[in-house]
Amino acid sequence: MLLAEANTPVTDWIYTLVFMAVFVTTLMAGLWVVIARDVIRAGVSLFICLSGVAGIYFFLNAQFLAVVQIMVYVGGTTVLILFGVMLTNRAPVLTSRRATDRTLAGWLATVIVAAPLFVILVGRDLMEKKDVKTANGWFTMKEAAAQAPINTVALGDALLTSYILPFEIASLVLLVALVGSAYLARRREDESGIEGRLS
Amino acid sequence: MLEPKIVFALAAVLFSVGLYGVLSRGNLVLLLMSLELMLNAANVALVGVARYWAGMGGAADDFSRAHSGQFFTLMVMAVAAAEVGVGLAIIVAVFRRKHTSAADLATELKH
Amino acid sequence: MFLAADVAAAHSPSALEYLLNALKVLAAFGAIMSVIPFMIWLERKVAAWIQHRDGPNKVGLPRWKILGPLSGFHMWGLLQPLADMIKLILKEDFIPRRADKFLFVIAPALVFVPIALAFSVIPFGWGFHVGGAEDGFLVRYQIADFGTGILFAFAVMSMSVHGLTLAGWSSYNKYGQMGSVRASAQMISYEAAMFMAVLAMVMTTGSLQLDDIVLWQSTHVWGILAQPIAFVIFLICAFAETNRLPFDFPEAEPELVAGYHIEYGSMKFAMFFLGEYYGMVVQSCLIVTLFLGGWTLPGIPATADSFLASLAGPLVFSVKVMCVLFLYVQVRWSLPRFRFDQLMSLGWKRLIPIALANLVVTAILGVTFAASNMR
Repeated sequence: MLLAEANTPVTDWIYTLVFMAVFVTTLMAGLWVVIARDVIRAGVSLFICLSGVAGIYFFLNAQFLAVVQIMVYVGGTTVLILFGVMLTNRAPVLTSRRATDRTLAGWLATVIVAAPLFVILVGRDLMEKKDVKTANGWFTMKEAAAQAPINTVALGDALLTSYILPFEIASLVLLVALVGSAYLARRREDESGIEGRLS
Repeated sequence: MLEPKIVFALAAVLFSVGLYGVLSRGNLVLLLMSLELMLNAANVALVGVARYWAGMGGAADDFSRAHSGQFFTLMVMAVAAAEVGVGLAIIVAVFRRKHTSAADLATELKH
Repeated sequence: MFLAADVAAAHSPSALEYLLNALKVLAAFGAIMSVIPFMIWLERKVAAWIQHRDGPNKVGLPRWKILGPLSGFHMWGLLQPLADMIKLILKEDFIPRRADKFLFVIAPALVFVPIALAFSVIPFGWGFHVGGAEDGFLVRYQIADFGTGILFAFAVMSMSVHGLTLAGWSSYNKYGQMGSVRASAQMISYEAAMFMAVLAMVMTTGSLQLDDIVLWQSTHVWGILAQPIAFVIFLICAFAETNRLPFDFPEAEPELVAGYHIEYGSMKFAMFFLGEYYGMVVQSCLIVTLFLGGWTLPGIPATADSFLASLAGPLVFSVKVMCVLFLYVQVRWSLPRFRFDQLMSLGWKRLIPIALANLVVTAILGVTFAASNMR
């Protein structure tokens, strides 16, 4: 029975199609972040782009990272950023004052950095060491089935054995950031703050 | 058939776009958003490399190779969260003083 | 012990399973959409009961002769939500002139869709075996069973705050704006404590997979007994996450009129309304799965896989969910509203430290006593 067979062309096709959809959405949303004039809309496209990156992680066999990405970036960071937009801008429809004089310089610097980046990341033939597992390309059902997902338990083990020092340093950085941002944004007596808008 | 390259291409594009945003946008919050894009581009590249090593097969230390990519992505995420927190606190502080969030107007340290 | 993981690994997906999964999605969505009108009715009935009123009691069957003795039967007002729905659909669909139209239109969907996504990892029961002993496979009462299911559920649930935020912001209204700022502040404050409460449970059971957590509870004790403090914290945070009455600041009527959805009417308002109830149902499902033993009940085999025996699972699960939903409704109509700064200090100064302490104690106890459970 065709339906019950694993890895039919149909399932492969669906898999690749979903990947392409996620990929294109991520790319477009990423571009829109720097094109949009409205700050809130830029924030929304950032939200879409970061969700798309989480989707890419699912396809790259990093389920745990994908979920962490949604939790930290999509559920945390973007909320904070939108929160920041709302606290620091008055009108509901905001347009960014575009610094036109720096746009050309921005283009130039971007091209100077981006060109080597593309050569390094994309130009080289990564598949020169072909082997059985990657011969089909990455984003096929067959490949996904062949690849055991990197286990969360093993990742946790690595976190607390091989990488304990960076892990601890990261926790220290987070603590310092927490205290520092609370200090920076604290309510001062002499200022009529924007906290009034909250309550 | 999709090549692994497509992931690195995505990383490169996102990084360049973020860089352009950082260099040309005038709003502090937009700068922060572009920074997030760049960090995410690096993360995508890291996870892609981890996936590449995991796919190579054979060698005994593959597992840790694959892990190091994912582990550093986790670290970048933690640092990015800290960065956003501090960044937003600074933006709010600037806004209180200046009543604007334009990057060009925060120039006290110049004089 | 880790049965579920074995089952998942043993089978690579086929087109048949794709179809099966599509059917499961439809079934789950249909089930939830038919529970929500009943929930709305229950809410109004319980409210009336608490306030010594009758509640909805008129809308029922029409006075048609075909219905015989049932003609004109009031059905205790059970058809009231249907009438409400018709009213909402027929209302004018209004967009304020200076609103950001695109965001205004997609915001209700942004509330609704993430909550629906969270539904995909909840196990309603164990499942039944199809086909022979060798070539058959298990049809789970769960749409997606993957390794980090519980994190996924909470991660996507936390995405729904964007909908509230954008709704308030895009409608060009100061009350809406305040509602949206409140929504995001509240969400950030309560998520931390909520995740820590969940983590305590994850440490106890040693798995991030929802069905493993349920199976652990069926062989040991229910989560509510193993982690009572985490349960209380989780419950409080779940109320805050769904913006229900003791914590309904984004839409507090006396202060903000209606908060983020002040400019919304017709079906767009209905989407928020449904989203709130949907969120409530999903939160209740998660509470049942994490702390109340999921689909299992002492005395009923947890992993029976014949078709008839497996039906007990979803049945037990829905009864438990209904009990939690009843608690939700009762709390809403019997507790007064907090003040906003009280809400914030409760979150940051009480719940987060308690949750952290609970986490540390769990870790220490886990290392000392139950090394076998800790994996």
